[in-house]
Amino acid sequence: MENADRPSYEELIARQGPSVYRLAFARLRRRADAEDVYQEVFLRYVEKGPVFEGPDHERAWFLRVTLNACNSLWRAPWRRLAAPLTEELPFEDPEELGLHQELRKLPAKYRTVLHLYYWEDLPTEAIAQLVGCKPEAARQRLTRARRMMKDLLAEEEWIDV
Amino acid sequence: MFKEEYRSMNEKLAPGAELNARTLARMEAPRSRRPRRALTAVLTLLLAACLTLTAAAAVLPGFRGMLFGEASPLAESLTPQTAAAARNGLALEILGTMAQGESFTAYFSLQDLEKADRLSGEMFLDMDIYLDGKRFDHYQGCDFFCEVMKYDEETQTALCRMDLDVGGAPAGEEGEALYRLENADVDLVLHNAFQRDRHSAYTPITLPAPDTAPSVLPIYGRYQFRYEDGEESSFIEEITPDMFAPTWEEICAELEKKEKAAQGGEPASEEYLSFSGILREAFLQDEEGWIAHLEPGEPVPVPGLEDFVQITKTAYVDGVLYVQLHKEDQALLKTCQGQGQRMLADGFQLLCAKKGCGAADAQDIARKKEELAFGGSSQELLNRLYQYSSGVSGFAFDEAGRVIDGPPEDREGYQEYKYEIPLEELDQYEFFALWDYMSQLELGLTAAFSLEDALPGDTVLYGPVTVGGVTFDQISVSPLGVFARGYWLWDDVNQMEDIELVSSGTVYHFYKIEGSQWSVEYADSNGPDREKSSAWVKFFTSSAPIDPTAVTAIRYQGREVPLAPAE
Repeated sequence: MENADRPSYEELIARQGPSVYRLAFARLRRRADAEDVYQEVFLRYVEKGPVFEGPDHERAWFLRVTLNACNSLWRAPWRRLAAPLTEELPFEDPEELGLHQELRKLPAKYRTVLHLYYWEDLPTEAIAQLVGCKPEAARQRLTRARRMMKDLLAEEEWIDV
Repeated sequence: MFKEEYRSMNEKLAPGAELNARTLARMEAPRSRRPRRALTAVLTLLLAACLTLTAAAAVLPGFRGMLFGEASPLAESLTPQTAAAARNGLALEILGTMAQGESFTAYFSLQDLEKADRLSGEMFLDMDIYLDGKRFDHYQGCDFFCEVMKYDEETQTALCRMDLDVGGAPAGEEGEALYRLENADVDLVLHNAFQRDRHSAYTPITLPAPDTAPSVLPIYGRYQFRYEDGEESSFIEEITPDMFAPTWEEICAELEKKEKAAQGGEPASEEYLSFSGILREAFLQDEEGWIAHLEPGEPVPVPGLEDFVQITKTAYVDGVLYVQLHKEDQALLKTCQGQGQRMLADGFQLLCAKKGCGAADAQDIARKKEELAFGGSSQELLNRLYQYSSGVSGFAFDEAGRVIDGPPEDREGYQEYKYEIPLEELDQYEFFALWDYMSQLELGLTAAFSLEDALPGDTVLYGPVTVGGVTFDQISVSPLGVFARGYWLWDDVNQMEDIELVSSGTVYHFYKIEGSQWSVEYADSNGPDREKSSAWVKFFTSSAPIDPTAVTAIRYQGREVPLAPAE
């Protein structure tokens, strides 16, 4: 239930929605799946009713739950069997579409750390907390993700490390 | 530059207004919690109602009275059992069982006869089930669930419920069912009770003399890639060590080959082609240096923790101190430090401190972990944990003896802690383990009983049927009530409050129990008109008993249509 001390659902969707959607899409690379996860995350908010200590806590909670919901989606056998959908994507620029296609080839855990690092601007310690590994493992994962993207795009100096 | 391109791409991604509106509508609609299993959920609901019925307790004593008293909705479905065992002032009593298809439920009580406050409503049980002498292995894809339903402070007795489902078990060598429930002889074995507490403990560690010329192992990573159809491809990581592909380029070439084959028209849209590969160390090269794992040496036990962890190597590589530990599988955790404590695998850390400061540092870090309720982290805690460490990594060996990179967080394998401490300064430092444990009570109780007389699940399946604009794929009528399932839109699910069944000319009204709807995973969800809707199961109950075999019609939304048993 909503009350005076808590943000309205509209406020929450406006504040956290884009971040949730983009992380879900980054991990799943399918709009239909990202939309399923998007709804699931906000429904879990309703179910759990967490009280946040501040904006950072709220942000971390939504990112963490988004990753959990993505994992649940991937574990669902019927979801894995479903045929891929032909989707309309908002990328008009051929380079962006190409990047999207290459990202699809990356294992999900690497797409996740890339997104958290390059979009959410999180340090590796925070990424480690979110994905549930040690900072060293997160750093290694990020390094490998960069290397894989570099190999996939066959360009030498396009990553600003 | 990647960052700019990636950010530019993401800026174009946003949830649409329609998605937001749909999400908001679902948030504002009442939503039920989705339980783990249908049967478990129903029994939970019925037992919750049952536990409030004090009149039942007057007929039979204690929890047995609650389950089998006149007012209990479970009484007709459960077979009473009388098996019992006692040891060290603790008593186990099997109260009732129910077998239905591939599922089996047992209710039992556990009592502290000495009233020594050794049990609680928060505890969880370490237990085993043997079916006809064969241990039920719930790591083999079967469902297993045990929980304390209620704890009576006065008698110090816990009412527990155990559910298992043998349906997910793999077939035996000759295709036979691995487990059989029908008329099975059951042994219920309680090993330990654990409290849901957590504490940290400190163990000083003396490192063996470091090896200055250790052997370094080659590293491999294992991945499986799945190719989905002729136009779209995706990579799904899975661990299978059965094939070997030496380089990333070869994997890409193999994928390309399979893609071309797929475009030839053979594979259907949902058919997968898959292969797995071992990536050599060239692929795993860290940009800041090679990932080095050391050849394990002779294990050196850590006093007090010998069943859980051993030091297998202390060595210097490129001026960096490596301490390699071998950890046991989390699922096989042993009791350590004598009785009463059980180590938690995810709570183990090898730490370093200035000489003479280990105990104080350990106390300080343990306090910080406790402040964070052992669940969170903070920059301050990370700084303390990694004060002298330059990282930790892990590896394991696959079946072929190859080294698989990756931190073995909760399985058997090796962990390597690295410290940038020069050899000549090593005597200025001390090492210690900080490890978490929970309280453990050894039970050692076994009760044997038979499912020979367990009530059969006299469930009759009806459908599919369309009534009132809604299609029910299956309607399952049993003494417990009615399970209805189908692909329904969210609005349809919400509106579905009750249904009526006609049996032997009488109309029975079934109403929804709060919290009794959940989405399900259908294996056949590839139909063209089913992708956009969700599969659901709802449970309805009735105040009057119905004969499941005599149902002839269903009424919903003011319409009545005949109902035939499922083929």
